[in-house]
Amino acid sequence: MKCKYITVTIFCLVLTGSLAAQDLKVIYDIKFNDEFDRGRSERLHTGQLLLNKLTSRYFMMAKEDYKPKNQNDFVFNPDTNVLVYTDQEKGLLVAREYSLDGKPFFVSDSLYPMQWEITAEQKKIDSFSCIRANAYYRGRWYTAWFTPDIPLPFGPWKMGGLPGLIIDLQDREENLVIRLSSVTQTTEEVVIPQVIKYSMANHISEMKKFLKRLQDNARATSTGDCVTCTGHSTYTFYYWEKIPQ
Amino acid sequence: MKRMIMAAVLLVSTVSVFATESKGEVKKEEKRVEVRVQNEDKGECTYSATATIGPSWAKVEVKCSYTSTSCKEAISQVNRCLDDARKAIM
Repeated sequence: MKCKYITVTIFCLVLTGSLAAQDLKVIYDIKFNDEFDRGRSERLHTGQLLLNKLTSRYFMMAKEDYKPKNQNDFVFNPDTNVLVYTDQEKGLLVAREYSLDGKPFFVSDSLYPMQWEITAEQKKIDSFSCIRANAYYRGRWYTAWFTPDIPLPFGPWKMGGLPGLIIDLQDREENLVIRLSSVTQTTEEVVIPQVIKYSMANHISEMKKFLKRLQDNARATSTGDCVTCTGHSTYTFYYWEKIPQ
Repeated sequence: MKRMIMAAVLLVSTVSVFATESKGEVKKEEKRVEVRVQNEDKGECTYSATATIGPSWAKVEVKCSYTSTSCKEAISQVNRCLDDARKAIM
């Protein structure tokens, strides 16, 4: 049923003109492993990519509530609402980040710095002819299937820069698995935020400082007031985009 | 050996009961408890707990672990450690 829907939509889009000339809304079905690098606890998400020739807006949100491991597992809600804008003309990528206390702000980042290896492997995904490409990006290996049928360099999350829309993406460990659900025309506009708090480099530097303060604080207070106690605490940071040490 | 096992069972029971009383959520609390007898004559209780804080894409995991002759004291220290971490982050 879904396949038929996508095929009919694409057929109509082709009839009304080139896909690349349209403003499109691409919907993805997503699985994200909340316990990446630690274990597995997958949740379903939905992703929406609005795009035209020069700009895009990608939004991802969970379909299910976060499942805490125990009462000490604190998560902020909305916790995985990823929001990424791109402006091809300015070579700009803007992503929403959250501080650890849950406050959102925007960060500017490099637009598609990953080096793609485009393979000879091809397959059909729904009605699209797709080509496989691989890239290493911020600590993880990704496989993408892009389609030259929609010759635009966009993709979900921060991924893109290929000679066609990325319609399928996953990392090697399958922590993040993104599959195409539908492509339709849209009249929704992309408005890129103007207030940017940090560059990505500054954001990473701030996070490192914060973690150092936490660790120093833990060392200072670890002796406590119990004379018969010995103990320690450790802080480990798990960030999807792995931070170079 | 038998005494050691008995001591371990006693300590596990003690910690579980304490945890149940303090929070009233038996299953969740029991997952946090880790007890080890290190000395047959002088029972030592090690209590460890982990808290994860932050949005799903960027989480801090805090591990607190304390050993004491008193399980109650070890638990108290771990809870204080987790509270301190939570306050520092949030």
